[in-house]
Amino acid sequence: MTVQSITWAPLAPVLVLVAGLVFVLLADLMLPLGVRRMVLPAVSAVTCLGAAGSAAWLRGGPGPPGTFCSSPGSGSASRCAYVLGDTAGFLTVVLCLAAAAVLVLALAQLRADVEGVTPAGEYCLVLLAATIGAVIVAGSRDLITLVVGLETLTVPLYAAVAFRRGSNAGPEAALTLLVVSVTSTALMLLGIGFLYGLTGTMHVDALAEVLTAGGGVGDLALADVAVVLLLAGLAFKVGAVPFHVWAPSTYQGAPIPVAAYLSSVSKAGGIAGLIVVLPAVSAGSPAAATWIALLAAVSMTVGNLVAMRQRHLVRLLAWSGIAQTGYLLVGLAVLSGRSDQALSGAGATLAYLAVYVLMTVGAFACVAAINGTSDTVATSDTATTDTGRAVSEGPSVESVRGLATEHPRIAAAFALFLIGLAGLPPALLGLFGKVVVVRAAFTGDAGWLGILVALNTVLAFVYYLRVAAALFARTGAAKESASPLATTLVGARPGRSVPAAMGVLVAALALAALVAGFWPDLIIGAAPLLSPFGE
Amino acid sequence: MSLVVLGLPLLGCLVLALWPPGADLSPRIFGTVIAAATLLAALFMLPGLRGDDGGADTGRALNPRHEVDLPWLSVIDVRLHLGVDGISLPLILLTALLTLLGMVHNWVERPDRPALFCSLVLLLEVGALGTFMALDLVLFFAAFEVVLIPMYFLISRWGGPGAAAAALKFAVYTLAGSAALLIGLVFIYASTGSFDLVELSERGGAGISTAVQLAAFGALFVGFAVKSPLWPLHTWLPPAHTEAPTVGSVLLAGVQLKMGTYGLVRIALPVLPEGARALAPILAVLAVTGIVVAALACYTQNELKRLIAYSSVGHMGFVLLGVSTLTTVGINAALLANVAHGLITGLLFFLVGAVKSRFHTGELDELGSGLWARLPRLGFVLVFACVASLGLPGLAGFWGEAMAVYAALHPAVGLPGPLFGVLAVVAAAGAVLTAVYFLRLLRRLVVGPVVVGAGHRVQGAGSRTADIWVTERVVHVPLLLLTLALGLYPAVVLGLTEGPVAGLVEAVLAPSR
Repeated sequence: MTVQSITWAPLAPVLVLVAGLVFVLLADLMLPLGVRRMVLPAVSAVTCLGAAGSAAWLRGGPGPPGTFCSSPGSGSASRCAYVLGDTAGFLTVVLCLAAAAVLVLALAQLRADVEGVTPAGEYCLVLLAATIGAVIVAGSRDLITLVVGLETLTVPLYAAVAFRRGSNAGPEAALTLLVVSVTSTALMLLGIGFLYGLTGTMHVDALAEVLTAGGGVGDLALADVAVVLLLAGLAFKVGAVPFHVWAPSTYQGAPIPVAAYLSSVSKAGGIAGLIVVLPAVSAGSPAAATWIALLAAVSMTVGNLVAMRQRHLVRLLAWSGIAQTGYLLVGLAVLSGRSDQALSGAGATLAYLAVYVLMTVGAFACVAAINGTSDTVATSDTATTDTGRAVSEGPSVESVRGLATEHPRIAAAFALFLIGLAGLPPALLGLFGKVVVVRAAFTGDAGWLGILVALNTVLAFVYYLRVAAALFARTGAAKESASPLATTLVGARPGRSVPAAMGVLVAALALAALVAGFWPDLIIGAAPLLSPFGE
Repeated sequence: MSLVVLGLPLLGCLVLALWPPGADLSPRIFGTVIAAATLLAALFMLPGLRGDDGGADTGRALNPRHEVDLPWLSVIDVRLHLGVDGISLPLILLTALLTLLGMVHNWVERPDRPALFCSLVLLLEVGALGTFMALDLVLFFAAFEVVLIPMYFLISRWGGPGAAAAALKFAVYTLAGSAALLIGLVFIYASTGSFDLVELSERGGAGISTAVQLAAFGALFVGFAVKSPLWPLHTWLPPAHTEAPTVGSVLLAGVQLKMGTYGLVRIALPVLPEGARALAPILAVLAVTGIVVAALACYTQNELKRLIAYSSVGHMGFVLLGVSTLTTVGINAALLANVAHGLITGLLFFLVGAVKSRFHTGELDELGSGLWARLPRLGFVLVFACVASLGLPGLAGFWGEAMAVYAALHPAVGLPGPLFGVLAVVAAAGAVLTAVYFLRLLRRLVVGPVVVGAGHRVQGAGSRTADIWVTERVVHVPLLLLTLALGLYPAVVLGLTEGPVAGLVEAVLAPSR
């Protein structure tokens, strides 16, 4: 074991985030409460933007992409633990931009929280720390770095999920996430242990080489088991069926910005992890592609079928997120299939990931905006009395009925994001994302997955459209036919205006979705579409 | 010019979406101006296409004019490729005209939230025009889907009491069709590596194995059959029509139903000729079944809009029968019948809207009879539209359907002649049935003694005050005149379609290949 050389340049995004994190930590101690609620999330969001900018700059730059490399003198090629290459750079940009958007949501939430119930410093701190973890996952090239990154991503989120005070739903949700995450980490570590025992290496490229050669591998059946364990662990993180059960109740119990974070940054981190381990996985077990294909098929179908029955908006988005995970996995399932001159399976997944993150953050931002306009105090009162089960806080499909009359722009943006998630025009970007995924499935000899994606689009459209239609429904008619509950909800809406920060965020995201719909190369073309595996 | 025609309504749609919600008059004026400008721009595309050989002599299957070809989604080679030829231009003009009339109609039946309403109508126009101009499969699909959302909202937001369910049924059916369409297009792409319609038409199925052609044609067939609609996938249409607001019904019948048959002629036939030859008999059988079933269903309808919706299914049956013969005559007949149906059924839905706005019901039992005596102008136009719809010679509806039946007697070589002969006879019988139910409708509603029905609550009944207003005349007269013109001189449309259809049939569908 030689001393590892450290090149600092590729670590720039991480370093920027760490600097921001230290600043938040210190400023939290010094600044008065009123200032804190504003400054800390703003600084955190700017930090994330800076990290995204540095990653984008490095991605195009000439600097050496790897760091923490083993010395190349030992006969084999140089192995780096962290490589900010094309794929990792793209993922880092997506992750950091999504985190910045979530922090703007947090800013709006903290501003509205006049009594200071939610601790501003800790809130920003955990979101920044988790983002650091996600960025590390994206660039990791060995399994130790991967696990460290994943844990750095997950552990702060236990706290973040529990930040909804005055309600038992938060701690419950956090506990669910904790138990599930610890289990999945244990499974993954077991799989990694088996792989190390078989091959004597932790680096994914080395693992792929050794497993492909088959030399020195004691028991190939054990490699299969190891791969299944590794995949199962990561499937928990991305919320793929049947490892999804934590997602809906956790999303619902968490504050809405944190739910947005879980469905965007956290899920993208899991996908990044899958992309990192896939070379080793596909070399270790030929059946891996089939496993991922099955996960994809089941996730999208079950997610969509259950989402159809959801009334609570956050739960609906959670289940739709499970279905979207299925679409994301399609590209990964065809990694080992026939190669294509213009688009690899991982490339399709990366492109769709960017589209999905944009749409889902936008949708959650709209939910948060809607929630901010309704009377949150009253709902949290009812929540404390109802301790037995997960309470239905936040907006439901019924409560947003006729929103367009009061907040036409929020309603229009929400409809745009939902239709984008469904993958249909006029949100063209969503359609292009789907086309890229379906095409990857067909060229990767998994045509059946492509057909399943097309069929699932129909299923999904039913519930997305139902919400979108409710937004634009005539409120007069709704009041006549509505149940007393719905009437009180409609009546209780005080027509409070949407916070400025949130309005700007929603407008920016909607603009991005529309513009990138007409110029899809802005987002889809920016993805490393050719990337065969992690690099 | 293609970009202008597509860009104008898109711009109008975006501007209207941001219009202050309280405004009532200004969005309607703006929408009308935009729609008129779009029609004008579309008319400018006409001169270069009159008497165009459309590639008949060059043997090209597709020879578009006013072409625009820009890179779009470069990574998977999706291009912004637009163009117009004699097959698409009549439908483009029809779309632009009906949209403009729909905008004018907003002065008759004022929608609440007019800015949103006009914005959605223009979005609908963008989708339809895009579908008719697209020369790239992904662009075609995108435009085809764009239509869905505004139509859904038009039905659910401004529709009748059962609108929510009808709109959802419409969306689910159409989306199921879209999924099939997407699968078919991906099949084509997977075996050819191209989304470009000109290139694919040129190939004429070369390089696509027979099995893939069958599968892809089957998928496209389902997709377009839902939209057309073809029996037995038509059941979404009657409720959608019944619940939609007048403008929605007009655009649904006049524009959206054309997109399915257009897709068959533009994509499915030239790109997958083997699949077309194999599945044409099935298409023909279903089309003729649709004609008969729709005619019979009309007898049991007591609601005006439902009745016309079912008659639409019958008319589209003739269109699809014409396509299924794979001959020059048949495809020309289909395109002509398409335009005629758009004009006549558009007019009928405007008229039914007028009836419903006066009597607050569309139920025949409640409307009473003797409409002609009570409201002479409305009665006259209604009679005119009905006899045009039943295919009276000399009016637009006649030529397309007569030619379709004639074409079925002489189908393309290689298709089962006896089967098509039988189908031609059955279709002709269906035409007679159609005539009977329209005459029956006229007898019940328009002529006869004045019987005031239960739903008659209009002020000043029987007097001139409730008859057609000037604005309504502005909407009705163009459709009426065009119906007459097309009936007396069908070459207005056929002169445009002949060349490109000949090129298509010669290059792709000729059995010598």
